[in-house]
Amino acid sequence: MKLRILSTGPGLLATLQDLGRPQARGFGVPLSGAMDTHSHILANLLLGNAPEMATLECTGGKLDAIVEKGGHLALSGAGGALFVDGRSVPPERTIGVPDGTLLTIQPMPGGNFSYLAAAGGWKFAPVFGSASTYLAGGVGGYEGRALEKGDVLHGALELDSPSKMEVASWFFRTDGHSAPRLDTPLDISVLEGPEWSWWPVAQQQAFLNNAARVSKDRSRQAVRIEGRAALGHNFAELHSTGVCPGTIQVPPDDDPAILMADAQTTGGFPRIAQVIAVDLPKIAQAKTGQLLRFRMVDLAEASQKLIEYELGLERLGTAVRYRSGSA
Amino acid sequence: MFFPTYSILSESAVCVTFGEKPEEAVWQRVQALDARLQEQPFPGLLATVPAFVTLTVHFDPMKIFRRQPAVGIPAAAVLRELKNLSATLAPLADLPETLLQIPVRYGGAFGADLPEVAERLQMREAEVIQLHSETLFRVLMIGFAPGFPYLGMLPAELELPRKKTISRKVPAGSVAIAGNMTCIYPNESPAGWHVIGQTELKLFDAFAPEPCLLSAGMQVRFIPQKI
Repeated sequence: MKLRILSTGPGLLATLQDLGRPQARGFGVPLSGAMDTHSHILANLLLGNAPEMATLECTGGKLDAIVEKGGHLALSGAGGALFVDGRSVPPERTIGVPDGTLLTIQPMPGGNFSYLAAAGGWKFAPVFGSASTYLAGGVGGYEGRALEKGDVLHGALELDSPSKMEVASWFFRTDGHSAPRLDTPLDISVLEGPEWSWWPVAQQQAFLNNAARVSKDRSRQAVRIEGRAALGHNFAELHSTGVCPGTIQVPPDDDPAILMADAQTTGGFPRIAQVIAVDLPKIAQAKTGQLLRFRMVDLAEASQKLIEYELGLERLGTAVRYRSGSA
Repeated sequence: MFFPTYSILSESAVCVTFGEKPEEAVWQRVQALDARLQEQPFPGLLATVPAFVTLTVHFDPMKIFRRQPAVGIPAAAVLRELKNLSATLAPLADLPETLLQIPVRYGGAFGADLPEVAERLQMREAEVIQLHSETLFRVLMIGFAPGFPYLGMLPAELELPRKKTISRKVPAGSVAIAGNMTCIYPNESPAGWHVIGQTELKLFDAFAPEPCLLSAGMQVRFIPQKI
């Protein structure tokens, strides 16, 4: 597989990502990795790849590329749709593309991010063992930066080119491709943050009972939610302490921030709550203006959901490998 | 309140708090637990993030679950492990006496906020430079950004609150002060601290055997360079 970027549309941010570099946190290095880890993993599983293999994360604009050496690909994630030689390809399935195919990833209203996986993964130079691009630090991925016109991505494995286009007859059914209804609150489960008890009961109730809206201030580092009035405080400054993706920090006089993949390793604002791991991909795909309703769960429930989710992905990966006869 | 206290950050991270204020004894206990975990990591440990009064411990919940499916909630199992360790925690062995000298060009284009700092502290710029460069600092923690050191303690005469308006961009190597600490920005970055100088030393290199130039406990002295 060899893919050359022909053009990058306005607003596009295309970066190589995987599941991040968790071992480097002690050096002040953010986790990074896919914003919507769920779609990233599905794109890999469609091809029989391991969940942690590198994919190309696309958001915010259109990407055009030419397949200089063919192979098998899959696109997953509600934020993008794949076109092959100008024709739409149904989502969440494996396609084989011969040499010379034109690919377009077009942004879709159903979400913010999509992930392009290649059979065998994309080639990259690991930084702390990971392909993830951390833009603010110029670390990892494709020379530490987003992809630009003329850049070339190589598949990690030398596989034969299909002689003609092939679209698999089976696919993963997801419900993410219709445009979201912004005014129907998206249910997000949270754990109590370490400073949850700092807020008076009335504010805690407001946090849980009133839907909050995703603001336009969204990045790979944090997604802000409107609601500074409801949670405003004048607590003593917290001494900088550990935070991670999913942590909801509340600055005294600014909108609360849900920290995302490129979150700093430490922060000094009180942590009111923590979005549970299986719900964080929903925040990544939530559009500006989306209403969110937070529901408090306990650690047992959150952990159980995570374990069931991970075991489910494992079964899915095994099923795909049986189907393609490689297990 | 009795310390340490234990809190859940997420399904894959817990925080141990050793005190309310960033005092020497509290900082030492954070370092002691961190050193213990580095020496004897439990299966599934991914990373530790020592800060002023807390140690945050990140782990892989699935690794813990797979080793022992009957263990229950992975984070609860890690907390039990940390409680046992903390109960038997030996005081930190002598800190390494590593002293690193960091050359700094103060003021002018290298320290854009120095004139304002001097004015607000009612000092001459030379006095600010002298106080800053005569102080023996210690690295208290690495956080915020790759290789970013928080150094204490700044002499009381130099204490200022953080800037009200964040600087959009300060260059890599910017040496800045705020509160009772000083810091160095390893990369070009937005900054909320007052930049008084700049060093040419590289603070972070992802490919070096030791990616961070500085680590918690090291001593630092800033050496003024001619501009």
